[in-house]
Order: sequence, then C-alpha cells, then structure tokens
Amino acid sequence: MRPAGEGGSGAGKRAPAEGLAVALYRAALVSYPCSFRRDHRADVVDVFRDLYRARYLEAGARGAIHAVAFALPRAFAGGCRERWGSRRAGPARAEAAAVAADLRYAVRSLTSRPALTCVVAGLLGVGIGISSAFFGILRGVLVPLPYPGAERMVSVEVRLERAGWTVEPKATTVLELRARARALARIEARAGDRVLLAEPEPQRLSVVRATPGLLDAMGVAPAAGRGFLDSDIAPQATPVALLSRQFWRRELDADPDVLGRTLMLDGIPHVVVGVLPELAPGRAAVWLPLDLGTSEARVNAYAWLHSGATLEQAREELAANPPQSERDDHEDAILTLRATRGAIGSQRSTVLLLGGAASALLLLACANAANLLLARGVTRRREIAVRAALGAGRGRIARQLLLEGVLTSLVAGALGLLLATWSLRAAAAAPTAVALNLLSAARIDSQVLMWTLALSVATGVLFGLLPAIRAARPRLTAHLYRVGSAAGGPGARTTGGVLIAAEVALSLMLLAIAGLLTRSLLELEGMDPGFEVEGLVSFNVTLPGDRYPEASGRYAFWGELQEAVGGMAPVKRVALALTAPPIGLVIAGVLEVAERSEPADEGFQASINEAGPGFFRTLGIPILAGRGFLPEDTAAKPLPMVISQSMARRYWPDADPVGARVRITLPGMPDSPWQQIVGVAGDVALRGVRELAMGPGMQVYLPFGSGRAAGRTGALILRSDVPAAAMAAELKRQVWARDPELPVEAMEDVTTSMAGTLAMERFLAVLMTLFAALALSLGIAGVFAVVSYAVGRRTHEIGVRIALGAGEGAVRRLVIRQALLPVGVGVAAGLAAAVASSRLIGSLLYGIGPGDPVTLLSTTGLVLLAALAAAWLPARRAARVDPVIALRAE
Amino acid sequence: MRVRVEALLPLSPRDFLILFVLTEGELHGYGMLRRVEEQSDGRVRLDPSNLYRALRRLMREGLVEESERRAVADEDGEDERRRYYGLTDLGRAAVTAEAARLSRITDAARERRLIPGKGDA
Repeated sequence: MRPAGEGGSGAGKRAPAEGLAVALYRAALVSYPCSFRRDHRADVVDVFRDLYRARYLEAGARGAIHAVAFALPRAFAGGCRERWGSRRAGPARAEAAAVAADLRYAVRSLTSRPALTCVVAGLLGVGIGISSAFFGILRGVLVPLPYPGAERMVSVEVRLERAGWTVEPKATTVLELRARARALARIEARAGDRVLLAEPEPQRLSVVRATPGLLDAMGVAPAAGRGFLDSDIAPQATPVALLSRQFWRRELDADPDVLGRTLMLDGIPHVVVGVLPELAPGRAAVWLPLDLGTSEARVNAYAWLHSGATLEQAREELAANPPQSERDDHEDAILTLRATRGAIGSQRSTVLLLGGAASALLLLACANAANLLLARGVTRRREIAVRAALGAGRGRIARQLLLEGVLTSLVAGALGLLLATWSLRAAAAAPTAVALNLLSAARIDSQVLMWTLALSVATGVLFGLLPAIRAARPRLTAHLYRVGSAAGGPGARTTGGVLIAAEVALSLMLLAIAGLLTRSLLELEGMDPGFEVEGLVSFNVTLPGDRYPEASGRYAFWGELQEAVGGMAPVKRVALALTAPPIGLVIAGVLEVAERSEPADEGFQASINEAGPGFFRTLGIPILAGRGFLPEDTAAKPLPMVISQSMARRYWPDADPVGARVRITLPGMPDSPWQQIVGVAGDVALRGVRELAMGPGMQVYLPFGSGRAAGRTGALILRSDVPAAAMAAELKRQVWARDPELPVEAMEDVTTSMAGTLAMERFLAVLMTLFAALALSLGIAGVFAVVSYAVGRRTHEIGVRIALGAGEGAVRRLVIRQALLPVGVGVAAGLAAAVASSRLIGSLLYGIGPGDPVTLLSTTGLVLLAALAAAWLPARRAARVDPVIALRAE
Repeated sequence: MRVRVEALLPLSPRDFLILFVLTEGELHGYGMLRRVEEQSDGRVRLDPSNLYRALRRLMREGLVEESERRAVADEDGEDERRRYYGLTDLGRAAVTAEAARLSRITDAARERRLIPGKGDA
C-alpha cells in the first residue's frame, strides 16, 4: 500500500476553476525573492494544484474556495517574510557588519593620532562655531521671518509724486484697501505710540497698536494667554493689552499670574490677556489692539499676497482702482506696494557683512584642516596601499576615510556649538551690546542646531572626500615599495600652493574690511558734533493734556522747572528744547524764500528742534550771525527761526540770511505761516554724528513751544559738574515737587547717549577685528604648516644641496621663494575680494571710501609680513638641516 | 556530531513535524503537506509556499536533502518532475534528539499529573 500522500493525491482529475486558482496563487508568489522562485516555484505550484484538487474532492466547491482563501494570503505573507528575512540574514547583515567595522576602524584611526585629530576638530570647531553664531544672530534679526508666507509679504506705502518721498498710509486707506484689493489676502497694520504707565514709577512706555490679525499673520503666537481678537476692537470691548516678555520680566517680576491683571495705561485700565514670546518683533513693551475705523493716524501697513497672485498683479489692481482717502490730503498721492524680504532694509548690509565674514572664516578653518589632513593623507598612502593589497575595495576604503571626516566634523560641530552659545552669551552681556537688538535677540534654537549639524556633516564629507579621492587612485606597488618619502609630487605641491593663496586671500579680505570699519568708526568718533557734549545732562517730561489743557499752564510749568533746576548747586546753565541730542525730529517739505519766484527746494529735509532762551549757549553752539532766541519769541510775529550754517550756505550763498522770510510747508499742513530768520548757528549733530557724516547738516530751530507740540513735551538740558547718576534723584524731586504724577524719562549724560548712536559701528568694528585677527592667526598657521610640510618633503634634496656647498642663506631663500608665488597670488586675489566686498558694505562706511588706499596698503603689508614670517621659521629649519641625516632620511 | 545536534535544539514545532514525517521515508511536497496535516490531527496546515520555505531552511541547515529518487511515472506524467526530500543523518539525529527531549517533558508532566499517565484512565 502506498503511503498516503505518495503519488495518489487526487492528482489527475482537474478541478473546476483550477486554472484560475493556480494563476492567482502564482501571482501571490511574486512576493518571494527571485532565488526562491527560481528554485521552488514549480514545485510549489504543483503542490498547490494537488491541494486544490484534493480539497475539491473532499468538500466540493466550498473546499476549493477555502483552499484558495487559505493559501493566497499565506503565500504572499510568506514571500514577504522570506524577502526581508533573507536580506537580514544574508548579504545585508554582512553589509551592516562592514559599516560597523569601518566605524570602529575610523574611531581607532582618529584616536591613534590624538594631536592631529584635536587640532583638526578644533579648527573646524572654530569655523563651525562662528558660522552657527552668525546664524543665531540671523535668527534674531530676521525673526519672525522667515515664516510661512514671508515671501508674500509687502509693505503698503504712499508715494507723494511731487515731493518725491513716501509716507505711511492712513488707517482709513488700509480699510479701503481691505475692501477692494483682491490680490491681497490680508492686510494688517501697526502704529507706534507712547502711553503713560502709572505704577510703580510714572513712566512712558513705547507701545505698538496693532490690528488683531497682525501677530498671527507674522507667525507670532503668544507664549502665554491669547493674542488679539476682533472682539477686542468692538465698540464697548474691555481694553486689553499684550505684554512683551522683557516688560513682563522687568516690570512685573515675571509674575506667573499676570494674565487677567490690570495695567493703568493713560489712566485707562487694560486687562492683560497674553504675554508675547522672546522673538516678538520690535521692542515695544506693550501691544494694544488697533481699530482702523476709529484711528486717524498714519500706520505701518503690511499686506500678504494671495497664493496665486504676484506683486505685479497686485500693483496693477491698485493702479486701476486706487483708494481715495489719500487723495483728500495730497492730490499726487499714489499707493505703492513694496516687497519686504524680511529684515529691515538697513540691516541687510550688516547681515551680509557678518555672513561673509563667517563664511570666510569657515573656509579658512576648512582650508587649514584640509591641509593638515592632506599632509597626513600622504603619509597614510602606505597604509592604504597595504589595505588595498589585502583586498579592500576602493569604495570601502573611501567610505572609511569619509567616515573619519564626518566623525571629526561631528565632534567639531559639537565644539562649535558650545563656542557659539558661549560667545553669544558673553557678547550679549558686554556693555557695548546693550544698545543692540542684534545680539540680544540672537539665540541658538533648534533651527540653528540643525544648521550646525548640516554644516558639520557637509564639512566632514568635504574633508573626508579629499583624501578619499586620493585613496581611490592608489598606485599600489609604487607606494608599497617606495623607499624615498617623495610621495606627493607635483599634485601635492599645487594643492599646497592653492591653500597658501586661499589663506592669504581670505585673511587679507577680512583684515581689509576690519580696517575699513575701524577707520570709519574712528572718523565718526573724531567728528565734531558741533556742540560741547561733555558735562551735559538731559531728561524729558511730557505733560498730559487732561491736566495741562492750556498753553499758559504748560509754559508756567516749564518756566518754574527751569528756574528751579537752574538754582541747583552743580548746575551751571540750563535750557529747554523739544528734544535733546541725539534724539531729533526730521521734517520734509517745501521750502520757500520770500521774494524768490520759485520755491527754493521742493524736497527740503532738515532736523528740527525747538529751543528756549539760552539753548545755544548751554550747549555751546556758536551763533555765527544774528542771535539766539529770547523769551518773547514764542509769541512773536512773524515767528523767528534760527538755521544752521550749512543751510545758510546752501540757500543764501551770497547773502546774509538774517532777516529773510521763509516758509516751510509740510505735507498735510497747507497753511504754514511765514517765519523770519533771526540767527545762524553752527552745524550740530542733533541726531548723532552720523547726521553730519552723511552730508551737510540742515538744522532748523524754532522757539520752544511754538510748534505743534506747544509745550506738551520737552527736554531739559543742563550743563553740570556732576554726572546724571549723581543728580538723578534730586532732579526727579524737582519735577515731582511740581507734579508728582509726571514721568521723568531718558535721564542721562549726553555723552553716553551720543556715544550710543555709534554702538552699531563700534560693535561691527570690534567684531570684524576679532574675525580678522582669528583669520590672520589661522592664515599664519596654515602658511607655516604648508611650508613646513613642503620642506619636509624636500629634506633629501636640501641635504644634497647643503652637502654640495649651499649656504644657509641660499637654502632659506630657496624655501621662501617657493612660497612667494602663492602668497603673491593670494594677495592679488585678496585685494580684489576686499575691494569688491567693501563696496557691498558701503552703507556702513562713513568718511572713507571702499577702496581706501591707506587701509588696503597697510593691511596688505601686514599680511605679507605675516606670511613671510610664517615661512621664515621652516626656512630657517631647512637651512640648519644636517646633510648627513637628510641624505639618509627616508 | 552530538555537539552540532544539541546546538539545533529545540526545534520549532513546524520543523519538528516536517522532520518527523520524513522519518517514514522520502516524500515529495504534497505528500509532506498531507502527512503533516494528518499527524497533527488537522491542526497544522501548511501553505505550499511556506512548506518550501521551511524545507529550504532545513536544507540549508543540513537536516534535509533532496533525494535522487524520482517518482514512477504516473498516468498524467506529472509525478516525474516532483522532487523528493529526505532526512540527512544530521536531520535524523536531530529529530530523534528532539523527540527524546519532548518525551522527557511529557514524562515529567505525567509525574505531576498534568496529563494522564499511560496506565491511568
């Protein structure tokens, strides 16, 4: 009897739909790997057929269907398991093991030469660290942009054709735009303002009034609480406020229960509904909701294009259908849209500068590290040749070298991140940075971390690639049997030369830029501000309208205050002004001179201040013609005016302006009165020395209280023997003796505030000098290394020369001459780069042109000297080589 | 040889079953499938492809080998192509060792009265 299952399987009689079942089963077998199918598919299909027939015989159609339903999914799943399983078990496992082995080898190789690894990691770490620090700064500057939709953001401006300048749109214009513009998805606005905070000390806060959707549009979500809602600007809504994080920490001691607290702003209780995150734009202490419908102010308006629309389409739409509310004020007003690419325009130069410098430094660091590795790479040729002879494939060796590069760079990246964090923190704590929002906003966050990681891996690949490429072309036997150490040949010499040239060029470029910035700073600091800054103290007071409704009351206050302060012991002189330098206002309008047919200037711009009697004397501003102001000038007709010397020279080149009548018409104020010039004063840096550096100083002075402010706000400027800190308490007492609720603002020495206007220039100059010093050190180290290495390679040859009678001097000259060509090339390239890049930062330079020869020549000289010094030491060592040892050297 | 056998234990239930049915003699694929089904009282039903997966593995491990034998030609001539598989010495040793192991376990289970003894009702 045949055992069951032997042959007699029910095979022989075809079952119905057998073909279909088998076809389906065959299809399910596709999941099996090729090898399996090749070996067993036929058998498997046969067995299935048998099974199918048997099941049909046993249980009819139901059995047949059951057989298929049972077998199909199991076959498919089995195939998948076989496929993945075979990968794990077979070649894949071997592959993973190989990578693990390579990793172990890489680590061993790196730790076998710790000094080299540390130096390379350190060099790269410096480069990566600086780049990361720069990126951290960039995050602070460009925040909240980039955010989704940033590239679709435009700012809305009003251009006055005839006058040629732009102003901000009115709130009503923004409303009109919202109703009409279809290409613009949303339009938000903000306006700056100042409000009075009553406690703990009366002070004026700078606030931003913003439409409810603005923060959301800019991607800023509150760190606590909520943002503004449309209901917040409804007619009877409770006034709400959002606090900046700095304000919350500073003034409210980071109160955890701040939400729901009430702040008295301008005498109105506001409920705190949220706290903004660190990265909120601007430096306003508090944000308040802006109702465009009820505001008469001009606002900063931003719009976002619809995802399908382009800027051109939006502009065309605007031109075809312009909002009318601007025309009410100016007939020639045109609404324009300007693309904003993120940062405030003036910071673009700074960002470019820092970015360029950081990149240059990173390149330098990489060049140095590459140089070190290449030098080492040559000596490793033997090792690589042996490995190749033992059977390691080129790809394998290359992969291992690449791993070494990446590992080193990851370590460098970690070091760099530490360096970046530490240096940003240190710099932010330094006094010069206090005035700068660049550093205070800089932070290392997850984006910076990712950038650092990417940079590390990229440099690692770059590094690992160079020796890897070299390794991929081994000339095995030559290296195995080579006796001399002349490995390298012309290829290595050129690489060394290129490296020297690159180091010299980059160092020169950075030094030149640092030099230009430093000289620019010195120029600015050396400029005469036009008045005697030392010994001046100033502070501001604003009189609220509800308690000082009449001008007479205000003037009385100022008079009393001035007299009281003047009576204080250390005070020698005191005067009133609208603002104290370096804070100043600018006007732009049309200047007309009486008895001249056409306007003297349709695009007149000048700094303006109101000055009380004694102003010019207190500040030490010379009166060159006519007089200063007298007490009765405030009410005199025509209103007296004092102008600056440059303004006198420009508009009255051959005549004495004193006595001339002029009129300045500002936009939106058509009926300006005629005024009479009573005096000419020397040019003054009313808004900081940069004002004078940028062009001749146009200044206009009006009697205190005669302008629109009418005495509601003013600055007391006094000349005293003691600094502001020593007088502060007493001065405040004098103010509060007259009115205890008045905030006393901005009390400081004018020297401090004037110096503060140059904080950015100082910061950049210091930073760039640091960068340049670092670059120079790296450059010197690089040149030294390359030349040393070259000398090392030529030891044999030098030994021969010395043995044949060459003197020390000749050998030295030989070595240095070899370095001279690349240095020369580097200097030429560096000069070109310096001139080109300094043109990009032209806006940051004052009083000095981008191609300033003195700076360029001196930095070139410095770099040349440094390069030659770097080459000198190895040259000297070469000359002292003992020929016997050299000839015997490998 | 003993060392190698012990390294293979314990066998998975499926592997054990396949080896077990091969102790009777060489079988081809369908035969194995049916014998396994019978031996396990219908509980273990192998899909043909999974059977061959197991066979492939067992062959790799050296427990099963393809037999020289080919079926006697049948009426439909299909049996000629079928390949027969049989135990190797190692395979036989392995299945024997595993059976012994299982036997020891069942003895212990009988002692503890987990399963009825041979003499019990």
